[in-house]
Amino acid sequence: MPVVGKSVPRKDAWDKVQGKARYVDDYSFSDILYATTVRSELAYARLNGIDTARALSMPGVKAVLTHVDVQGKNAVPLVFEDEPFLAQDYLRFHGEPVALVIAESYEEALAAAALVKVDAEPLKPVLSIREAIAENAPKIYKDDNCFSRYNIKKGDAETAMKKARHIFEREYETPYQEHAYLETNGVIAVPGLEDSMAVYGTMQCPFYVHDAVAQAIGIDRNKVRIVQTTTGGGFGGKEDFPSVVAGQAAIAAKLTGRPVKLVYKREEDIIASSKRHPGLIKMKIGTDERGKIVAAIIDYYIDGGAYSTLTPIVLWRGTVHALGPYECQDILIKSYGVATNKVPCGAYRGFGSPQVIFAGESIIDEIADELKIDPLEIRRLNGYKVGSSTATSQIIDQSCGLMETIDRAAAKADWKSKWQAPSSKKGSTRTGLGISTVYYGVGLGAGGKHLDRVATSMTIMKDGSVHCAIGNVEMGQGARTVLAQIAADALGASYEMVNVVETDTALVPDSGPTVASRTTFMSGNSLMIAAAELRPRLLHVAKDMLGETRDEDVELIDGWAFSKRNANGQRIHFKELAQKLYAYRLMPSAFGWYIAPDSSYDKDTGQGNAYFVYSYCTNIAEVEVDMETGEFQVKRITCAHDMGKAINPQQVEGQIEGGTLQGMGYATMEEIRHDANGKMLNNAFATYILPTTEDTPVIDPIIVEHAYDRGPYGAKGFGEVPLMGIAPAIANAVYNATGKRIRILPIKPEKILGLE
Amino acid sequence: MINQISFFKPDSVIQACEILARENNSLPVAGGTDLIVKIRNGMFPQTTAFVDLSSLPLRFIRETDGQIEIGSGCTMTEVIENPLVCKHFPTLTKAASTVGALQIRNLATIGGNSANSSPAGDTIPAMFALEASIKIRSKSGLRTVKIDQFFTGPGKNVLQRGEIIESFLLPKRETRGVFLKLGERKAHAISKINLALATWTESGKAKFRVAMGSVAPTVIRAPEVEKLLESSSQPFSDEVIAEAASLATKAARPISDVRSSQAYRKQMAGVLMKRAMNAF
Ligand SMILES: Cc1cc2nc3c(=O)[nH]c(=O)nc-3n(C[C@H](O)[C@H](O)[C@H](O)COP(=O)(O)OP(=O)(O)OC[C@H]3O[C@@H](n4cnc5c(N)ncnc54)[C@H](O)[C@@H]3O)c2cc1C
Repeated sequence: MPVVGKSVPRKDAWDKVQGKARYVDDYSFSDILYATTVRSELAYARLNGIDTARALSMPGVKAVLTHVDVQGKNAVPLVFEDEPFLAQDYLRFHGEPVALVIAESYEEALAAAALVKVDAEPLKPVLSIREAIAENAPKIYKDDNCFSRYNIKKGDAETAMKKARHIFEREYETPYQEHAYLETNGVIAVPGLEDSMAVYGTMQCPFYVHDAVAQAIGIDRNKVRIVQTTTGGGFGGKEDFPSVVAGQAAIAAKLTGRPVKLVYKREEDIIASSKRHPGLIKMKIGTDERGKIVAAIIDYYIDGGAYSTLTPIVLWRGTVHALGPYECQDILIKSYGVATNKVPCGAYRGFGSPQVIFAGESIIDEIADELKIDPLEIRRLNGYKVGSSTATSQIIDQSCGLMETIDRAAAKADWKSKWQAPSSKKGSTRTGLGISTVYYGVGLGAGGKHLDRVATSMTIMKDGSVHCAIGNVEMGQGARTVLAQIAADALGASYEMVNVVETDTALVPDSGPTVASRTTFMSGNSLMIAAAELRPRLLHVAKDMLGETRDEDVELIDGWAFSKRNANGQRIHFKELAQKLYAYRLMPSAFGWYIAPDSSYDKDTGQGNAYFVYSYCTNIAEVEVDMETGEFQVKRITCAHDMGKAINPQQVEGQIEGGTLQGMGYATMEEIRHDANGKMLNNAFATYILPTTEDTPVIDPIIVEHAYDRGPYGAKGFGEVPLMGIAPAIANAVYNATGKRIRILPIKPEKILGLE
Repeated sequence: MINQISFFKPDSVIQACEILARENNSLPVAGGTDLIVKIRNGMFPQTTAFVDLSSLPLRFIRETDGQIEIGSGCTMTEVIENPLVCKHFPTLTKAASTVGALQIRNLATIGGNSANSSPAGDTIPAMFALEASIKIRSKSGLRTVKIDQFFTGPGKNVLQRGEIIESFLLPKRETRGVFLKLGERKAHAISKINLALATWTESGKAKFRVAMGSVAPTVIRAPEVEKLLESSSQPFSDEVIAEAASLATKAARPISDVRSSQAYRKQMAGVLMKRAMNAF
């Protein structure tokens, strides 16, 4: 493998560091119009009317669109289709789009937008999980305020709990998290001939956007083309939401017959786009006298906000992962995705699992503390090994590096000599160590398996360069680079000759979303399929050129073909092979279509092979707490990750560093606040506090490779995992330093001192 | 209508004052680090004109009869790097160096910090502790206001239409001091609470000034603490330090807001006081 496993430079790095990369707002079209959005000022109201007359009379204004102008179906196509492109009948959250103002300039659109009058009759909003599930709660969604619910029943948890030696019961709460990608949401919709529509924009899931645009303007999918522009970060925040923006822009472009740019300001991006779901987790864990888990009963609630969007699938992943990577024969997990009158929540790196991981990894630490067991040992005792049975009774049959991640992280962080019980800590500055262990089902799993396939188109050009179109996107995570590495080695081309281009729905069929840490695994596999089809053709021409008789007598590696029996003899460059390929009139293109390994799920019991493979990690956080101010510094986080195979170790480390810092923000400072009427209070970076480089701890990444036999070169997927277990590692470290257990994130000095 | 804002770049301080007096709803702009954010957020929608102060001769730090005068147009970086300030007023140097982060400090002015009049403005407690006066210029002349007479509420001060801050006058003496701040993160953090302490010797006696921010509608001094310190012998005993801390906590009258709670701020007033004293 000449490039797989090597830290080759990123394909997109040079342009990005030089500022050459162009994001959607950098593009224009002649005759372009600008759109801005009129938003609901109320969290919940009956919509009686929208007066657009004054706005329409303003200079430069071309149109003011409301729900009546939606040419297709006024519903964003996701799971339940309950979210309209533009509000109709009701306003369901503060910031919901009500109307679009289209004008010759952005400034003119803004000025007119202030004059659109929304006539709405306020209703009493439901603003939290606890309010939504209260018995006498007003009903804002069906008769139980519940978008979806799941059960996992393994064995008999109630009976096992009765027999447990120790029972631990705790409640944990987690806040919103805003993605804070550098590039806000934005698109340009460009109407074409014969009623076609092209949309350019920043996004994670061009095929979701394809569905949305076709549905919004009511045209066939073969007239819709979605082109992903260089995307300045997603983290899950550009999974479902670009469908809303693109649908709206397409409606406006179709109506006016001109290109329409709709790019969000930061404040409206924060107020209107999806977030991580707030969570409420009730844990009840029974153990034997040694701390072995014998029963688990878990209730998990997430705040879905005003529309269901991705809540059902986010909830499913969280439900499956609710106990963490621990063996237990008797488990009962019940989960609820509830409706409130707040911004709809969606995907965010970890997808419903950081919430339960915070709860699970905190309670296991609490158990260890009460039973006086080293927090590391309790994880060794209960954690998954090959042969373990998961909460859904899936047997982990391979590629399980959890124990090795514990060992390697512990060694690197010097756990043995540094860890001491909280009772031994003294003084006004105290240090603490905290650990978390995490497992993560790669890909869409049984919950989304109908979408779990991807396409690739691979073409060897006449000059020997290789063009690959893929169905997953580059959004800064390094997909184009890693996939080029896989394609190069699979084909025998050199890395430099392979170009994996940004996603365009005109190039490959629907490949599902770019989520769930699935891209390296899924697109990697589909590239390998395409390469496997093309490679024999190359060997065939190489054989003739080398004067061999059989195809299997030649080898092709890193852009050169040579005879196996004479490896140091004549070599033929890929470019010459390509020319010959064309001269022989052999098909220079191939399609890869990869279907994920099977997974299964029983609707009533939740039992089955939930995901085809799991990734694992151990985080060890080291904190220093100022006992007088409650301020603390995260000094170091050691993170050992099993991702099967690091196709590009430097990018793996990059993912670990970025994800860890994002997890630290979630743990220590980030939260969204609303007032008593449901108005979001901190929709700007002055008030939504993110960590800066000055807050960044030393991050110590460790790569552990337990290969997965179906992965491309053994790779699984792991992009989300670095964020997921950071919060409990820090909370456990804070407890270890101070003896103060924080069960509601974020961990703040005020909470440590009990002065909220 | 679209908000059209005129932009004036006057040639002299007097001309700036004239334009500000003449143009209804005009605002002076220095570094713009407060103002531009506020305008973008829809505050001051009536604004019709900006008067740019950044190229006026307001960027000086000089000695004038027993005082050190700091021009309002000095950026935080200029203040931090100035040897006169560093030698005489370490409290101010420290306060200015906690503002925002480097990019902000290169733009943000010392005049803008006071004129903006946030109770959390970081250089303000230092100005209190150093007994600064503010020289206010208008087209009809000059007036000087003591710093503790300047602020009238959050975001409010005694400046009238057509008036700008020309400079800060600080009595020239060698002081020692500290500035302490608690924020939500390590950089770009608005103070949850801050505290400045300055001390110097006057006629053989130690003088102390203590001021705190974000604990009241304006920055406040803690005169009881100052009295206690001035009447106690140094090095301070643990009892005096504890007493000073408890007086600082009593002096603080904070509220709860998005950044922190009342209870935390009150307790931290004492902690910062203690730390300030221990920093000597
Ligand atoms: C990211 C960021 C971080 C920040 N961090 C901090 C921090 O840590 N601590 C802190 O204290 N502040 C902080 N600030 C606020 C701001 O930078 C300071 O208050 C700064 O000193 C303002 O100075 P300026 O020159 O930019 O003022 P401007 O924005 O130009 O003006 C502010 C106000 O003062 C008026 N004004 C300006 N100059 C004069 C004058 N000479 N006479 C009369 N009126 C005048 C303006 O009309 C305006 O109302 C931060 C701001 C940002 C954007």
